[in-house]
Amino acid sequence: MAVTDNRVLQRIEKGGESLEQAMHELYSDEQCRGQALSLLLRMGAGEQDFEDVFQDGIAHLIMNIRKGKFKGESSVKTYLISICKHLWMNKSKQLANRKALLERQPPVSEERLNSPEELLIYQERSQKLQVLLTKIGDPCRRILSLWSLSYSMDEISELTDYKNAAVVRKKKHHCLQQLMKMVQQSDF
Amino acid sequence: MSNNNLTDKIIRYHADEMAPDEQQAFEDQMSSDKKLQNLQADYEVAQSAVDALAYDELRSKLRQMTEPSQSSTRAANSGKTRFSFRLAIAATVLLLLVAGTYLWWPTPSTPAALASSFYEAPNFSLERSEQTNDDQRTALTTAWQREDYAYITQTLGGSDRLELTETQLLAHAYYQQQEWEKAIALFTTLIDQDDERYAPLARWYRALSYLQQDQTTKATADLELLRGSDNAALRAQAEDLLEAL
Repeated sequence: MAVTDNRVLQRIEKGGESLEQAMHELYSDEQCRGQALSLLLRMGAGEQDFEDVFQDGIAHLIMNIRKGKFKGESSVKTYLISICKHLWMNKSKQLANRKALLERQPPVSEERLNSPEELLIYQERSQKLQVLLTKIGDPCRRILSLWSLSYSMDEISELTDYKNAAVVRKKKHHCLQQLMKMVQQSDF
Repeated sequence: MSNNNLTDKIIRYHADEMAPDEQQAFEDQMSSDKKLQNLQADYEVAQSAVDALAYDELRSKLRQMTEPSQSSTRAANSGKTRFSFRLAIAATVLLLLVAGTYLWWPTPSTPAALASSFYEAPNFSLERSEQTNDDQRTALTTAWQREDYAYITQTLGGSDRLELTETQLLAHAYYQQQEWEKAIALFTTLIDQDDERYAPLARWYRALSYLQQDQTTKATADLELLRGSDNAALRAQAEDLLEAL
């Protein structure tokens, strides 16, 4: 694994501002972007498709690293390109199926083109989960998302309207309790 | 042990907030306690919801990066941009130094900003009433979801025979339209009805409406009353807001 990989991994695992630096580094890596672009264009993607897929790919990469799903068997950039490839395969399959549906043709395949990392778990949400996320309200959504990405309570307090870290900590705990209560009341 | 206490324990366990012996005892309990195992399963669903939020946050930050990366012109002019950027920073610092002589820094949150950060729009399920038929109820619910508050105020605003859920919906529509006086009047109506399903929440939202109008004393009075509420979530929110004030 390259030294730069270690730095990127450390920053992503640390979270908060460090994670943002790593995300920026990955996003603006021209070599990685160029390789991914060239691959996806060969697979039939347009440039706007690529931009969406590349951003999705970085978000998935970060989530997978933070969840311990990245085992370091390839470089971070190779892993990112592989994620982008799988995301585009899934997306193009969905587009083909939609087209087939409109033209009343049989769908391309019922089989899902998933990578071993189950790429779509962060994007595709059940309707019930969607309802939960709506019900919990904007302040809780913001606090929980930042907390989940390991922003410190001080950082969250600066990024939101809450007075200080102590208030954020209490609010975070309250939001989690609220979310748990909603899950208990729903039929997941 | 109550569900609330167990939920607290699970949250603390996953946040690594337990001492080693408490953690060990919790893990032992988890291996045999069915109720706790069910709560753990609920926690995993909640965690997947939080993951989805984190993913959205990342996507939003990435979208913000799109503009600079896609523009090759900007890359060609990066030297010039950097110079302008430094110049802008220098000018800002100078301005802040001058302004700092006269202004407090940092600026505290205003009551209105605090109210906005604590406001969470509820979901509505309108009950049958004399005022509205099925189609109208569907239209009102859809209007709320689409943030078409004008439709709600036009439809319900003139009536003096509203059901409690309709009063609640109308009050929130006025709140969203920043018509604080009207929102406060309707929340007061709900409080006066003294129905446990509506009154405590109405008191909470009336406090937020008061804060939007900078009437901190009235808001504090409502929040102090909510401190004694039977509703634990509302009690916690009121305490958080009082602390922030």
